[in-house]
Amino acid sequence: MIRRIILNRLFQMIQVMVGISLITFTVISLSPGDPAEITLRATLGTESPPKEAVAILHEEMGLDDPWYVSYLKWISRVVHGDLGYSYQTKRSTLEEIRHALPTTFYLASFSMLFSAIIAIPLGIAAALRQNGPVDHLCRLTSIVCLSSPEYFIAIVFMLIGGVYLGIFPVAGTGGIEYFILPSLTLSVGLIAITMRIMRTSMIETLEQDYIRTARAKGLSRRKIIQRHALKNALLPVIIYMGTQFGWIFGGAVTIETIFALPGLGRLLVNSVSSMDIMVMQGCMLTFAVIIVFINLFVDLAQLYLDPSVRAQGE
Amino acid sequence: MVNMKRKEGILFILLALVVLGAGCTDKEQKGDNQTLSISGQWSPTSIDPHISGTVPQRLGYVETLVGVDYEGKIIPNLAKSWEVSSDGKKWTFKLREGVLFHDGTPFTAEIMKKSLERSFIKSASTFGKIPVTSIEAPDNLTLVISLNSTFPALPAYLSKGESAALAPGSYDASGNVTKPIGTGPFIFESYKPEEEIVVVKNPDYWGHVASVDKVVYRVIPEVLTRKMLLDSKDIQIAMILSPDVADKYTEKADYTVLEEPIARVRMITFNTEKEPFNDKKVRQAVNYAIDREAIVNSVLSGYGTTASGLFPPQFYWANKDIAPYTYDVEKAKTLLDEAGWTDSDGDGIRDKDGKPMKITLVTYSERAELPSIAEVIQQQLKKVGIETELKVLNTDAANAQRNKGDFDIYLVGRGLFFVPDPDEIMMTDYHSSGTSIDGWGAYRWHNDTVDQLIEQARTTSDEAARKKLYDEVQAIVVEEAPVAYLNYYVNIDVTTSNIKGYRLHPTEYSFDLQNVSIS
Repeated sequence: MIRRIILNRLFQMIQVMVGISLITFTVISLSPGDPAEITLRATLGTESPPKEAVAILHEEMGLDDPWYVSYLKWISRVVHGDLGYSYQTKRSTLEEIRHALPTTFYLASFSMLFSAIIAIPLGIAAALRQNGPVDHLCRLTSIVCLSSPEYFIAIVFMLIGGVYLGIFPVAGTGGIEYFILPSLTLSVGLIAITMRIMRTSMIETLEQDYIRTARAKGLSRRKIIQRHALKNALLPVIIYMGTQFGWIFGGAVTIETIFALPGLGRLLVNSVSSMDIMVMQGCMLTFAVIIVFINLFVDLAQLYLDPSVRAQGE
Repeated sequence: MVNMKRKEGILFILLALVVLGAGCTDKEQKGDNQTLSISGQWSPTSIDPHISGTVPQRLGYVETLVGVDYEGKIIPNLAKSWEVSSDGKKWTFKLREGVLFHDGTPFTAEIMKKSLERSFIKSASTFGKIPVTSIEAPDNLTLVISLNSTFPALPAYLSKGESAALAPGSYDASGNVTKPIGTGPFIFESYKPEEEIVVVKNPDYWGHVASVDKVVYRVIPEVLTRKMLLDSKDIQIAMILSPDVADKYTEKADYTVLEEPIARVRMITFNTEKEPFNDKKVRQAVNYAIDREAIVNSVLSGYGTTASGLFPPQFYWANKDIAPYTYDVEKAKTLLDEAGWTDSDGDGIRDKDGKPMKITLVTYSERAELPSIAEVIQQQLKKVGIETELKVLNTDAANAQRNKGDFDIYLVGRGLFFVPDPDEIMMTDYHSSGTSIDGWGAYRWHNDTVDQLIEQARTTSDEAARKKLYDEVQAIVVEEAPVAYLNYYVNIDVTTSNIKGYRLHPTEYSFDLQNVSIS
């Protein structure tokens, strides 16, 4: 059962990687402008890089090859583990990604942690006392959180936590304290939705027949929740949070830029704007791998938590 | 049971906050050790100054042979003087004596030769233009660079950070830089890519020794984040703030706002190949119809100087004697009438031979204020009877349209000094070899006198003589108006008021932090 799931996901990973790299290649070849010139513009800091330099780089980048030739050349390098290097920094793509990955990983992990700690208990509380004060408060908070742009939330936290209270560093990298404000900002949107999913899921779970049976058996409310309902109600929540964890890796660009965190999202966006093709491809691939792995993890979690899935497999 | 848990929980949270609070940065200056914290959006892409030399040069841990003063003029730096042979192909640089690298190695011509040879290879895209045949070091303090054709901009190129002097100890066995050892007022200490660079004072510097002991330069891409760091006093200098952000500090006593026009101009290029702008009178009319002052005040919040010529007036190379186009709506209307564009059908838009005066203005949005300026120009042209359609695209798409001739007016922000020498911008933007191909300057414009003047300036190495030639070019360009200059970009930095001696450089050549003191 487990083996089948893992093999499925691995096969999917290859499909996704091929698909993403093809799309990225197509997009690059369709974009206006000469990637060589765009690269030099960023490297040299001028809109009109010397024509001779552009010609040399143009050839080095193989831009005159038809796109399928470039793509095949790139694929053959990748299967040998060579992801190329950055035209901007001259460092290898792998090194760039290796440098950026931990930062984004910490950011994503802390966001998940904060979201879980806050959203799950609140969602459960809202479900247990439907239309009570907690429920209304949660609903209101959700709407406010979702309507506020990420940028705005970041500035608010920065002002309160960093400037006025002076407890947390405003921006930059260093120890764990540098991740608090960015993770909180990121978790705001997550909490909003996770809370709602938790609530709905818990309500639906509590309406199930087996819960009524447990009630009839005389189990206390608390025990019912702990022993039966929670595991099942958490399932949609875990699936949702799993997908979010993956998206944060490439999508937390705003947060990374505002808080000056040199993570994967920022690396991806910078590589796009300076047409740093090999880094761009490398980031997309990393992104694909991460998402597939997380989906795999969610599958396995589902297996553990939901007996019906397990039963299906047997 | 539950109550106990809750109390413990609260206690734990309080404890966590205290621990976190203790771990945050200490903003007080410790005793005698003065640390200057500054922040900008640039990050060097490599620890190797020969690859990425702008920031190392600005921070002051590497130095070049040639420097740039506050008028954008080149001055002696590690080279105390230079001269060129009469055929323009042999440049002799006399080096400064008594200069030591940070590891104690004496600065000699032989080391400079090796360093420069490495620069030319590592930054071939920058220096590839220079027709170098050889670099020799006939004695300890003389460097001879031989070219195979004249290149008066050579000293200007040698002011670029990528040509800085590095000691042999900077490289490892494979020739990569592990720790850049330069000659500047600061010594390199550490570099975290995309994060920060730390430098310490060089007490044995040959010039003005720094008063601060340490400088921490933090890479922060967002303006608002730099502002926050300034507000929380985590940094003392926040660089390149936007006008609306910087404006808030002008009233605050504990902050100082500094601004400086830089060598970057916002201008419009006319499509001189087709109607209506093939007619000089119409181009001049537009020059009179645009209220440059209003643009600076409304779009740029007053941060910007209006432009009447190519270079900002404080620059050595600016021709300050050109009479500017004033804001004169009546004159504009008269010129348009003379050119045959009148409003014969009374619809508010001029016409000629049955064709209405409708034009297209192309610009791009990457430099955020250009679209807003385009809107203002659109209104101002409407007042004189010209209807303008705006097309805001991304940089490459906009440039592609310009190169195809699919525009009437092209609004750009143009960097003037890739190196502190006018040759590059003159050749690319105003000489017929540059205007007839893809680019950013005057569009398909040809003026024989201008061509001759620019070519002559390329073969003359005497600075004053060249200035005369370029001054004339600037005057002709303004008169013939293939372009219209609007205003210059300004850099705005804000510092805490205890920072003294900090000055903005108009070509962003250096922060000159050795002159900065914290009181």
